[in-house]
Amino acid sequence: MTEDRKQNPVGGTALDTRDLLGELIRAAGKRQPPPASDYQQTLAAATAVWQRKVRSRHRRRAGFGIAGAVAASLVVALVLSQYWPAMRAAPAGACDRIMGVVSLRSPSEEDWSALGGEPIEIGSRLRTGPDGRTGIILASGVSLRLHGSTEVLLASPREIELFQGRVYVDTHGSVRPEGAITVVTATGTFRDIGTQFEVRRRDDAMRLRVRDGIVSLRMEDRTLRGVAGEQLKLDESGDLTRSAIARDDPDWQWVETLAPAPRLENLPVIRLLEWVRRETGREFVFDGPAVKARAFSTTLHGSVDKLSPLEALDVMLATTDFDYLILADGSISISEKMAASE
Amino acid sequence: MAGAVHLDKALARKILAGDERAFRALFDEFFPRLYRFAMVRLGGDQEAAQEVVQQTFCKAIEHLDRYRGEAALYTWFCQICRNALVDYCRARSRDSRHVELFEDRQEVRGILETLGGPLADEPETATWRSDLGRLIQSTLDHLSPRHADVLEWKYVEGLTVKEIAARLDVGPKAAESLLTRARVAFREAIESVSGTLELLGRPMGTDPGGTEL
Repeated sequence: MTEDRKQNPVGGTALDTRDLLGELIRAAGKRQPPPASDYQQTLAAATAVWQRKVRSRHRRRAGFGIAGAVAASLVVALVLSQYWPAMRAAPAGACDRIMGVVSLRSPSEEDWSALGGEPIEIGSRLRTGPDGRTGIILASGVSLRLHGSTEVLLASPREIELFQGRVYVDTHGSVRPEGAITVVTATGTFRDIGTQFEVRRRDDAMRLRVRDGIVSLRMEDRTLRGVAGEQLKLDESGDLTRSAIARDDPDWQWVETLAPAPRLENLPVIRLLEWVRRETGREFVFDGPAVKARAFSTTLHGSVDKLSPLEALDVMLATTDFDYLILADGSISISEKMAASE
Repeated sequence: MAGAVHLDKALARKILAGDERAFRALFDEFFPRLYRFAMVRLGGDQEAAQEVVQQTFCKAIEHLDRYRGEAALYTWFCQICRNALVDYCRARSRDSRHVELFEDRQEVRGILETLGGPLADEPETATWRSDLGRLIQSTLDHLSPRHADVLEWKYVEGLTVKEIAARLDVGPKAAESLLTRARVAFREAIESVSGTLELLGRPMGTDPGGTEL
């Protein structure tokens, strides 16, 4: 130790600061861990309080949605019972499409089972595997689509709790306040105003993408709004960044594969094009006003069940005099088929 | 500091959302430190320290949704612990003067001045050294766990920088850099307790004002 001491100009000796810090820490000795028994006892008590706290917070959040939807769900149950006579409890919705592994846990069950076409009870949990995807039609008429590695709770036909993963909501343009959909997460509550939007939760980071309409995100300390074409990212520290995302960005493609197929039998071609536009975000360009007028008057026949929007476009237009071409900017040009030359 | 508070707020949100890993991580990090925090102020009474720390955790978790990030989460827990200490002493008619911050006492500053001086080995300084030891450990507990750990490894366990790097699974330069930052953090913490660290270099017999006694 003496070799590290410096001479003090006024005659005494002064320790080098770095050595002195080391001296202090060395003199103090190692910090002793508490007794294991005290650790266990305190942990047990703290855990009990924590679990009670978490349960009471979950009950508070679910209570709002369920209380508000009780009357609506009773009406929905009466209507749906015509189609599902075996139904035992009010449904939150039903599965429209499944890909890969998708599991369901009803509120009365402890175990998970494979999701089928049966009605999904209010209070049920859905979980997709890494490659799993599913499209759900909620009893409210809203299309809910789940990406892979996603887990949600269907608290009501209008309230979804997102624990982890990515969900897409399409309300088909309904702007009725009572028809609004809420997606609840630990960070905040997303509420639509006639929209298409996606919410992704990964650990404590959140991302909102709005494809159409407006979505509000209500958090503990603030309310944010996202508009069409906007992406909002909240990182784990709560910092917000906004950026743009186009309606036809390739990142939206996963929702196309789960799009609920419309009934098009005896409907005009324009209805098909509207559906494709809504699901793909691509704009349509008509090769002249006459072509556009014919889109309103030409009737379709057949089904597009289980087809993606672009597949459906291909299949359905093949039965008409229309042709289509996907342009370099992603938009779709509609023209009349050229007559075959001899 | 702002970044650390943001992480604390994120941790609190995770815990309130039911994330068990986050809850256990918080408990495992804070429990030993709060326990020592309470022990120092309860004269080493283990049973009392366990009771106070248990009350602290229960109260803090119950009110965790009120944590707004005004200070670091550990500091927030310490404040709750201080209140629990006062309540504990009042309930048992104990002398709550034990609870006052040890670091606030004027004698503490004098203790630091004796280090390295001619009177350092005198018997009457033994008690002061014991108190100083607890002060140092309490200061370490207020640092980030990583900083506190590397300082203990270096100066108490005598590990080399290479050995510290191996423990942390980082390169030697990163370990050296961390050690430097830890020393700075510890120095700043001690300075806030005792005033300027320059006092430590003063010859014995000199009061803080610089006048010879």
